[in-house]
Amino acid sequence: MAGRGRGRGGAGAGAGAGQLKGATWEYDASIQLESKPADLFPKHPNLRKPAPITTKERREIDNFKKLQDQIHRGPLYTQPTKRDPNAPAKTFGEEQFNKQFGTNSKANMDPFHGVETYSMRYAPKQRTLPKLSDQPFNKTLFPEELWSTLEGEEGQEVRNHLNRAMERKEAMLASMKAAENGAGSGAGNGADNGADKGAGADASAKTKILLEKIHKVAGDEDNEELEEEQDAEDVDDAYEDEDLGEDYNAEGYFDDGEDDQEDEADGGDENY
Amino acid sequence: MAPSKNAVELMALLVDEAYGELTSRIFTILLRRGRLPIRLLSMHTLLTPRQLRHGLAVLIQQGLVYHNLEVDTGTTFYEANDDAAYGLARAGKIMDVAENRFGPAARDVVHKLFLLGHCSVSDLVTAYESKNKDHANGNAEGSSTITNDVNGQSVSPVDSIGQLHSVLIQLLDSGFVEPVVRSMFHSPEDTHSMIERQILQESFGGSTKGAKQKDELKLKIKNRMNAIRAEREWKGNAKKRPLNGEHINGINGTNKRRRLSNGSSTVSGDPLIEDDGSRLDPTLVIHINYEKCNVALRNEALVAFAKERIGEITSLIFAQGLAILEKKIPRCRINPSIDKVVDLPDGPGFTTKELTTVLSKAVNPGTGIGKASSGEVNTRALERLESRKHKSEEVKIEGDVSMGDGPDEEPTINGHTHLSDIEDDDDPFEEGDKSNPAKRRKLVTFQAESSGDRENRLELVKKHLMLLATDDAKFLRRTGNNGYGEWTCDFETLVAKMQESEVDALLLENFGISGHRLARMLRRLGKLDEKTMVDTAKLKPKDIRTKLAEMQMAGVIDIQEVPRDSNRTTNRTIFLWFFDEARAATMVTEHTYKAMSRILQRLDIERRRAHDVLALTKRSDVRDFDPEVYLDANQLNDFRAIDAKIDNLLCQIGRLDGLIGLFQEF
Repeated sequence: MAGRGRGRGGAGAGAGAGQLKGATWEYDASIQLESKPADLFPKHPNLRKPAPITTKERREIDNFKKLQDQIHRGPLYTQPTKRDPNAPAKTFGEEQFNKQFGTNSKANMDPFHGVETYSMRYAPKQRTLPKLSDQPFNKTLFPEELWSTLEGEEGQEVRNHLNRAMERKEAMLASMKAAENGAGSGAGNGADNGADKGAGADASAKTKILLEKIHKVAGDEDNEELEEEQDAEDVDDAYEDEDLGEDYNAEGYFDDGEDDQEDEADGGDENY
Repeated sequence: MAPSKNAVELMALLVDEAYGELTSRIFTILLRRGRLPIRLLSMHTLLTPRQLRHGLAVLIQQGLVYHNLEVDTGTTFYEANDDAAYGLARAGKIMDVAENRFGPAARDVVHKLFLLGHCSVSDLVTAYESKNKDHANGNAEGSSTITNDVNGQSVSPVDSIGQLHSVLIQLLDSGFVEPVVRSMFHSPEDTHSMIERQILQESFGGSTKGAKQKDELKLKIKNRMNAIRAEREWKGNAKKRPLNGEHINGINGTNKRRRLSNGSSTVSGDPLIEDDGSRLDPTLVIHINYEKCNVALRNEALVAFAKERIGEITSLIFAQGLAILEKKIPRCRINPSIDKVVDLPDGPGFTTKELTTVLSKAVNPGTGIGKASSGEVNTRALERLESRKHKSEEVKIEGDVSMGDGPDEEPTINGHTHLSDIEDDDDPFEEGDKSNPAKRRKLVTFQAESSGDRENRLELVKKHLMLLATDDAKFLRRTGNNGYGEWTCDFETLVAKMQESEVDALLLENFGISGHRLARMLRRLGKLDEKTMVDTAKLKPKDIRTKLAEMQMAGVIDIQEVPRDSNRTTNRTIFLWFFDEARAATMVTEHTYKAMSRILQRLDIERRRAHDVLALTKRSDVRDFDPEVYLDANQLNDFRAIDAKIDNLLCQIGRLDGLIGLFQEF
């Protein structure tokens, strides 16, 4: 770098424009340019073929592979979530280290291969949280703050949380239904009696189906395993209970938008 | 001692390889940052507390993380257990050792224990019950089920719960598996500080005064820690039949050896360990004891070393001797903060008679040693007892001797050692052997069951032991005359010798004959200046200078400046070259750690490249079948290629692990 800098300075001070330390732009037929490709990286001086695997080593490797396979199939293994698997393995500092892992698998989904297809039904399950319910634990050997995790009480909390949210939705829908019914009966007094009646019945039927659906979902959630709820919980983390209500409150939606954002930021800070 | 940068990298990769990303991320931060509570962990890993709690539960279950509740603040701190993390690389070896000692059933139990982490006996029983049921189901559904089992057996080697108990008792007796108590989950430092606080409160009223009280405190802490460790030890089962373990051990040893030569035909039909009716407490929590496993691995390494230096038969006898000692050695290196460093006159020992009785009949001590005429061998010196008092001198003399006969025993390179055939061992005794074929013939044919057979066998075994004792590596040391000679093994000096030979092999490989010669010269003669080296090494000054510079760049040797006056001018300064063995050893360790992590990274890349094929074999509908059944020709070729690559990489990890063991743990 230093050399180049000096050269440029020399050119400026010396013969003037168009000349760079003796080199001119004029055509020179005799000039010989080096076009030879650069040497390859030198060969390793000490490369030897390793000795073949002995029977003892073969047994050890087989043992190891079998064990690893079993662990990977087991409930404790968690699949990698690396954003870019081809990124260099070397990282500098914690920030960069943490950055290479995706926190939200859905946001980083590969649109071409990420969509589940029929042929993937036998693929091993992707797990980002170990499934602790599948393994016996000896609770007394763990610190007390982990007990709830081991017992799945934490999952219970999430479930209760979800149930509460569902109840709220249900109540909201029920009130909507009541309002609609009221409107339907009011409209029934008008001229097109039969048609309006049909519409009212339609609306109430739709609500019923919707309600049933919601019930079904809530019921399924109860039966689902903890890990399934993880995603739901992740979403719920961002919106507290009140926010959930606000989202469905169309009138208050835009007014409280700013507050929502602030809340989120606060939540983020708590996490980090 | 905090693990080095390379070690941290390796351990993170090992945990990642075994238990996946979440655990590895937590473990890495714990290794880098030391002990942390969940709150701070969350800050450094950017993981949610929920994820952290799950990850930590897995890590604790597998014994990879210590935890400690600080009563004053009410926070629980977590700390990485690096020994256990490194143990993950050894899983294959440990399972193999278990199989060698106690048969395939024990391997299977150890496998399960690796899988489950620490677990109670009842949990293990449940795991086996469900597994057997699975097998039954599998057989009922389709008779053509081909399991992808290592030995090609479709049924697990553990048939009954009774057998499981017997296997567990044996493993507990031998120390490969140990009971888990809560204090094990405290890191050594935490335990130490806790005991210190307790003792300070109890005996010193809060603080110590003066050096005398401090020493007293140290001693008390040591005693208490020793007591805690003694508490942990397996006390044995009252219902156990006496002499059971020893007997079976012997039989299994021979079975293993025979199997080795036959190939992989296992004797799954006849379980070697039978249900002897004893049962363990179902609430007993057990896990694998890495310390004891290291002792077994060290013995294997020593036997391989003996085989390389002397011969197969002698090494087999040595192996038997070490097996006797193994029962008395709970760990390879004593911990100065726990163990009382008493200058014991002799370590645990065994007599020739003991050894001969347990030695399997398949080993013929008559072979392997040639006979020289009595004039040529001076056994008088060997009969003399050596005491440990002169150990420090011994070490020095030992170095001299090895210098003397250096050239005729070229150390073999790591990895190639296994190849060295026993037949062309250039052992001096073998030379004598070949010159006297008639006598050798006589020895070999000495098989008839005569009345003096036992006596002769004793004599022959004793000769092998003497051969081991006279070797430069000092495999054994004679401590008494009872029972045709008492022997002990000085592991420290022996391991030091092994390390030296390994470093020598590496130097020879990396710096050629002259570099190797210079290093050994420096090792023997201490610090030297260049001129002396020219004379002693009989090399050209120019060659020496370039070689020394090369080795200094690699960090093997270094230079010390000794100024002759206060000006420190170059021409008034003496430059002394020196070779530091401890430094060379740490360098080897660091390089090995690095190489191992590179291999693991390479493994990951290779797997990703062959992802298409590997994903096929991992499908849940076919993963229990042999890939040959369901893959088409092209896929099968691809699979075989990647499988061979993975095998080679894992094999290399195993070999490098041998080096780590030698320089770090043994």
